[in-house]
Amino acid sequence: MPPFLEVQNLQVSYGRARVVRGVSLEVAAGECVALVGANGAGKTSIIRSIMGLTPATGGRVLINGADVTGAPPWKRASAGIGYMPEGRRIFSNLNVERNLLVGAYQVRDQTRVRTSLERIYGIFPRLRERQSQFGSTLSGGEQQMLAIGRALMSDPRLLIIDEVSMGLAPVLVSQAFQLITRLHVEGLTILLVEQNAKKALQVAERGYLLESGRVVLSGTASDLSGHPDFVGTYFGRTCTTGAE
Amino acid sequence: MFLQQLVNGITIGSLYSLVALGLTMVYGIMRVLDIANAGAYVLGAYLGVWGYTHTHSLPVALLAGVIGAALVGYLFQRLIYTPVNRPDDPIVPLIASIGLFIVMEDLFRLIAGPWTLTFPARLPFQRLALGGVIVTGSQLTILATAAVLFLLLWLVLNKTKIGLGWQATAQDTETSMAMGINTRAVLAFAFGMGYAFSAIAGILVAVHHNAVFPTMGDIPSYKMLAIVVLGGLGNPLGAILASMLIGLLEAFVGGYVGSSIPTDALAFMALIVILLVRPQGLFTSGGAAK
Ligand SMILES: Nc1ncnc2c1ncn2[C@@H]1O[C@H](COP(=O)(O)OP(=O)(O)O)[C@@H](O)[C@H]1O
Ligand SMILES: [Mg+2]
Repeated sequence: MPPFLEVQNLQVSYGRARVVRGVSLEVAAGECVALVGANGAGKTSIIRSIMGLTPATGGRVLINGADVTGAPPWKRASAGIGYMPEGRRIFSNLNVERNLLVGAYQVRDQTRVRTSLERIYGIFPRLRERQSQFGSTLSGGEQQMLAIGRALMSDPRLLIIDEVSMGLAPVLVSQAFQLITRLHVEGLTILLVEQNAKKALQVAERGYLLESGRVVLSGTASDLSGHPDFVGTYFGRTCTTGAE
Repeated sequence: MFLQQLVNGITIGSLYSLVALGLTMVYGIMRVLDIANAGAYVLGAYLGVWGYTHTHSLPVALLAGVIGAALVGYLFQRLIYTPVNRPDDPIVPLIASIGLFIVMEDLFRLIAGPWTLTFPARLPFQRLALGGVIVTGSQLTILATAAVLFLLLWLVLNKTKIGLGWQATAQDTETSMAMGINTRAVLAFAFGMGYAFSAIAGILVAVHHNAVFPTMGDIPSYKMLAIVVLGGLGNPLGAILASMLIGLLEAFVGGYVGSSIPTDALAFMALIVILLVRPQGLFTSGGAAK
């Protein structure tokens, strides 16, 4: 069986700037994989390319063994990817419930949509309380919940999270990672993109360390956290940049 | 007199609303100021006359206008606006839309002739006299059609799946795509509906004045811009309210002051005043929200 997500020799350029330079990675069903690296390393570019939002200038993306490199984003979503974009990107002109319903856009069966909605409200009671409030009126933490909830509405086979901790207070960051851990324990496959490498590697089983658009280190979470390069160069940096 | 001008003003406002809504739908979803939308208004009138002379049925005339205009809207979106649209440069699609409008006008002239056609449709409503106020059959037709279309738009936006996709796409196309919304289909739908609304307005005006001519879209092409900016770009409710405001203004100024003030200039005078006082438009702008 092929891994659920496979990225082969991916390249992304903006004009002349080559931002992703031949990255290969994979996520098998049931895994939680971390993609870590400093700000500007190219993590978001890789994810956007996986989702089809930024065109790949080289390489391939396969979902469930099928090449989707040229496919539009909605086809990738319907192949089973739930996505929490960087910066959350809540629809501020829609209320909480309709934001969630956007996440289930591809689901035709209305009873399944209701079930998903109830499940999300079960995980985030705050969202139920605020179901008819506009997205723009939510706090940062609530927006984070909504973005994750929206990504879960389609009952995805893979959840991709781009920087869950961005802009959140430390308490909320811990809560978010607890939630991700719980979702993973319940069986969800996750690709976790993080600048906060330490936290990410506590949840993930495997990880890739990205530097200037290249994977410079990969292996199990404990291999990575224990690796001298990693401890020396990377954790040193997150401690100073992680606060942004 | 006052009530009569009120009725006249709301009728004019209803007509303006339909075109302004067409324009605002397209702007809301694609951020393109689509002058060619006024071409759909004229196209609707011509297709309506054509349908009517063949069948003598107003519903068939409306259907012909709606289908033809929706198709043209879809094709413009797909073949012209999507290829030339750049998020950082709204001028290119604007110029393209002006070009399309000019081409359409010349095509109407070439195909149907430069003269004025009559559109003597039989209307579903009789003239109504309430006290001293007279509401003509064509006014009633306009009011009823506009009311039905407002309701339809509201239902589509708020009660259907494509409406949800539409509102999401209007706000953030990229995220919408990644959430599984086929934004290409949503765009096609919004353009089709926007052009269809303008076409219906064109038919109603043609029936009201019993006239169809190639340049009948000229005044709407710029007056609607003023109205849409007044209402807050991309805001359907704002477009309706601004249309009503201008319609009433035109009726009352026309009725009380007479023709010493050109009524077609009123929309722009109102726009200038509003831009000085409230640059964001009368009603805060947004995506295709209710
Ligand atoms: N749309 C863009 N246009 C030009 N450069 C970009 C764009 N997006 C990102 N970049 C650049 O690409 C590099 C990688 O960015 P990104 O993928 O966002 O990294 P990360 O998510 O790891 O912080 C950065 O140097 C960034 O400035
Ligand atoms: Mg990033």
